[in-house]
Amino acid sequence: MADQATFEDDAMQYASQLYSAAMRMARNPADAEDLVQETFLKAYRAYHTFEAGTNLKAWLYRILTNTYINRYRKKQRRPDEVELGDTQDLYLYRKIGSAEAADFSTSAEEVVLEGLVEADIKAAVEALPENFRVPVLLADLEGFAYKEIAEILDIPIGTVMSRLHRGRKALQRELYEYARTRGLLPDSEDEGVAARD
Amino acid sequence: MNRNCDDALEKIYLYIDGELTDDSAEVIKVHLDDCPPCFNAFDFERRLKLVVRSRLQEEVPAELMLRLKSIIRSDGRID
Repeated sequence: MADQATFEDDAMQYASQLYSAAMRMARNPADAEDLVQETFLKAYRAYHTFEAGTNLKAWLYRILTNTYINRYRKKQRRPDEVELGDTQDLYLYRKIGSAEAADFSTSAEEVVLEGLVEADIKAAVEALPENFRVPVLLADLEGFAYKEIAEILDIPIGTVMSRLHRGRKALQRELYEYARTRGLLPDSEDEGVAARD
Repeated sequence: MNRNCDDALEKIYLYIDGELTDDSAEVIKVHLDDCPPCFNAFDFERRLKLVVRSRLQEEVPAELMLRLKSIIRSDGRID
């Protein structure tokens, strides 16, 4: 049992991280602030139920994601799907590679990694359906282990893995479009999906 | 590309995410040390994850921090 008196010291250190995740969930600052505020309010009131010494960060994220899902999820029977067609694994890397001929220069990758600006990455993440976006945020932004993500979202670990896999693929496809639009890819890039082997 | 490459690339995210057992991770590591094309792919994915992470960071508004503290200090009540 955790002591409410220590809540501020224990939990405030996560506020900034929670806000970064909330921004990508709610997709605007006003709703993100509301989300974080409600999360802290619920967490504070329920803090006596938190078992001291267990994973406080994961507990807070569980409250955040539940609050988000309850508030913002459209009424829907089934989770959204991402249409991946024959999108390959390592999609972005392979697309850069197919544009680059067979040398091992890292410069083309460097151009893409350096050239994708904050706005591109934020927009690409926000374009993911919520049931893919949240696992991707928990893994890539927060660095949670799959087991923790499964507990936060209350879904089986196999579902976490498949959503992460599909979500990251969809994210890479979005990022590829931003890279292309920004002219970050070499000129010879329109050969289709030839893979670099 | 050979079977080791296929195996390494298939598990590359599990490897990057730290989700493999020590033994499986060691097999991938040995392969990556020995195979520049797979190492390049791994290095790109690893760095992309870091880039995504760093460019999603937000500065939390100071005013929100004050509001959170005030909620806590007024014992879970909102003004």
